[in-house]
Amino acid sequence: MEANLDAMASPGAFKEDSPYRKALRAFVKNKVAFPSFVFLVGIVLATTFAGVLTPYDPYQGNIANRLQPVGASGHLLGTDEQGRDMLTRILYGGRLTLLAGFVPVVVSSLIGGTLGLAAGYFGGWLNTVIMRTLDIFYAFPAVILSLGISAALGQGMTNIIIAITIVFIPPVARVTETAVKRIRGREFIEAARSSGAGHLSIIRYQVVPNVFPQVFVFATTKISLGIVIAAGLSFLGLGVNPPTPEWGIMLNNIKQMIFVKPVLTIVPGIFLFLTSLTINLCSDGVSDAMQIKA
Amino acid sequence: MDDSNTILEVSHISKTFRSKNIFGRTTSEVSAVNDVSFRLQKQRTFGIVGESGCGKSTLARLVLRLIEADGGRVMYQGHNLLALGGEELRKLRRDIQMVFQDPFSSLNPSMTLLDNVAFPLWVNGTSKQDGRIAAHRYLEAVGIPRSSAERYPQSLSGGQRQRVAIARALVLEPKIVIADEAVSALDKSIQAQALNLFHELQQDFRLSMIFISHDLHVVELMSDTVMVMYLGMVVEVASVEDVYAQPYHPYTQALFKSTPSMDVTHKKLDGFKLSGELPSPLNPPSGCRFRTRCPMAMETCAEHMPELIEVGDGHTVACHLYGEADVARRAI
Amino acid sequence: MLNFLLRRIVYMIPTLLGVSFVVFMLIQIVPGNPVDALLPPEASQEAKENMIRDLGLDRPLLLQYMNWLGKVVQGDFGQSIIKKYSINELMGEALANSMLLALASSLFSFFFAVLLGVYAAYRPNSWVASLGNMLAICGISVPNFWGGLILMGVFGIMLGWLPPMGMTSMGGGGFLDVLAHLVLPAVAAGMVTLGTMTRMVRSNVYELLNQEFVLTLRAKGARPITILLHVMKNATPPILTVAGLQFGNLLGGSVLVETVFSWPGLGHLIYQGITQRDYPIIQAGILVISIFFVVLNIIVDALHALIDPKVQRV
Repeated sequence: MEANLDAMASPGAFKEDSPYRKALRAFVKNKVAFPSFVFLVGIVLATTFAGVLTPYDPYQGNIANRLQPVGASGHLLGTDEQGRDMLTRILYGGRLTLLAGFVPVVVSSLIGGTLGLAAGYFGGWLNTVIMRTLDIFYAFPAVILSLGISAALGQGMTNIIIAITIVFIPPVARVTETAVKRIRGREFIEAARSSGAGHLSIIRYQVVPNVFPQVFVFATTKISLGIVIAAGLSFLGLGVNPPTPEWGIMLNNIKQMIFVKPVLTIVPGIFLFLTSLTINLCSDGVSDAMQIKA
Repeated sequence: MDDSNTILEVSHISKTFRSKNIFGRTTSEVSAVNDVSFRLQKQRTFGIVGESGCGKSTLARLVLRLIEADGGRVMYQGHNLLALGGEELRKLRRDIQMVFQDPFSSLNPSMTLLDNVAFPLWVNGTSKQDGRIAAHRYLEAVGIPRSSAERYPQSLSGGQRQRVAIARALVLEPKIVIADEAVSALDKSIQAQALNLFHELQQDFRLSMIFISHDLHVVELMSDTVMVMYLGMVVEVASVEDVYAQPYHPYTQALFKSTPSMDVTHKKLDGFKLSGELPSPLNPPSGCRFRTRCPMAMETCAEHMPELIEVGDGHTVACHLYGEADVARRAI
Repeated sequence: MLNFLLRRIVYMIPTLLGVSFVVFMLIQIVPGNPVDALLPPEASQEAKENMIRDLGLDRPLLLQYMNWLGKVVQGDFGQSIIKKYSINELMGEALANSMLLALASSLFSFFFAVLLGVYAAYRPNSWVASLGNMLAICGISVPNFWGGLILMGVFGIMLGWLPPMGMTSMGGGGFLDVLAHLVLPAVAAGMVTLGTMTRMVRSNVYELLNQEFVLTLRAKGARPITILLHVMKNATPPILTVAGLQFGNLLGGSVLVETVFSWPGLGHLIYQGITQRDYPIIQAGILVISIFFVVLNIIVDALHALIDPKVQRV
């Protein structure tokens, strides 16, 4: 008997993969989402190492060489209205745009998640105060609120990031609160309490691991929106000042040239679009892999 | 009843749920548990039976302080659990553990079975490693092989999950286990296995148990003493033998499909079945809460709440049909 | 129903107060003294003080808010700092133009979303469905201002089929002229909505098609059109809810599209306010759009309640 038990305890026997491992495997097998993810990683790496990848300076151009078409010799994606290499500027410019999309999602998930967690877990007046306050921000269309905050704070990428973060907090908090409330009523929470667990360890071990997937999937759906809003605000002139490369402002600059070279706008915008598209495809893939409806 | 044999004494415990509007005014009240008292004997099983919504689950949660009671006492080892706080409460609460009703909701889906069982030890200061070693032992005790311990609850059947839930309740080495409808979600065939398991574990771990169920047969099989509840109130308490041989309260009689009364001085209730819906606990009937469904209801039932009176050795009933006279007569 | 509506309207009041407070506070978070930003640096101390008094910036915050709110409630948004026009005049026309654009893009996107979504739900494996799916995810992902630029470049400038900018041609302004100007911005603004709604309609209808009542109808030999009517009746409430929200987003999101196409709506006005740091204009624009958004939600609720009487009891 003794020996038998030991034999059955041999490591690995019947060991079940954790839900995350299963989701990861499903994601890697996804024929759309995984290639999108690879592409996205490529974009992030290319913008990060732009200095190594391109021989050109993003600020210095040759006016004589301006508005070169795509495929011109030495300039893969042509040149802009000041003769600067387009690809170089796009790679450098992606840094700010991507940052302004990702950072608000991460920060608002942390803040909104905490607020939603507190509101959902403790309930009562705390819930009323938190959720009713956030409801007010819900009454604004997302773009308008971020525009207002960013306009009031003044021009600058940091202010755009702050504005988008504020806009994303209420929806994240609401999703978290709903998820926490659902978990809160489950009997394993009562079991944990009767075993003497305090609020902190219940939240950490019993609540958070069970709401995290939901919040995570929801947050991924907001990344592309964040990037698009960031580029949009920058397009309106609320971001960086002209010489600095950034996708939104680049589109604005090129807009001035649209009557001269109508196709030119496609080039910097397509990176914005492809980034946003692949992020959304990844988000769909994550939601499928984790079997959670966003 | 020998006091030294009592391990847990609940007296006059009550709970009313109130919902308030935004101005803090009470808009509705639900009297879930009203003035309930009972004693649990060492290594015996105390059964609580009643329809769903009668307050039996709330009662269990009040004892464990998962819900705070409005008033009353829960005496355990010379302490009133309801008045304790902090470290003392934590220490004593370990001795009373609960097995919950819904096996699909009672295990944390993001933890392995092993960690689900080990968690109570961790929060009480045991190291991860030692906690897991102990958890293995208890999982085996309830019949979950070591090889399955690293699996997640989702891949288990309801019966297996309930075994894990039982292991989790036992891992803190409690003196008292409260089983709240612990087998009612299981198939009949699995139920029998689970009840056997409870029996065995009660012997092995010298447990005292409170066994809550709406199923009379389950309670009969498990309990030494039975308490019948109706809309938050106790209607009858007796030993299993007595309550089957001679149920007094009309509600108990209805529940037990009315074994005919031996006492010719009282009306017989043959064939009486419970009819009508359980009244809303929002506005319970005045006086005896059962009177709206009781075929024997009298005028006084609407006016006075009947008190528990003793009608036999350790057999009490709350019904106006049995007045002082009966008690006196019986005493002769 | 009336009772339900009244209750909703009463609930709306605290939300509107909150919204107005947030909009009011926007000016307060402007770094530094707004007067310094508004007046040229060489302005005299007296001019500054006058402006501070005119704008009421010397009074306590809550009083300023009450004052401002009092005026706004009476429909008085004050003076544009730079243009020196009454904001009301600017607002009224801009709101009408924005509504026109939002309506046009809603019509465009809702129509195609229902068409594509229902078809994709009926024939999930057809090429039209795959195309619809792709279109939907692209629609969600495309930044509408870039989409607008492409449309403008291709159809407005290269092909010259449609006017690329503005609301009316020089000397024009007839119905057909405005309609022609409306097409490109409406499509650009509606793309995101088209994507979101198509996905939503598809998954809703798909789920309904697999429900037992539909199987029963099929088993009873109901005509396909009857089945479709039953399905749509059940699919409408959730679609309506999302559609209402989307309409509000169209109004809000059109800031960018209006800027691209120089469409003289609220968004364009706000954009001008931003470039000229004309805060009262920004404030008024945001407030009008947000109030509209809140009221819209109530209208959606009311429609919802009309279609599905169960909602009223909640």
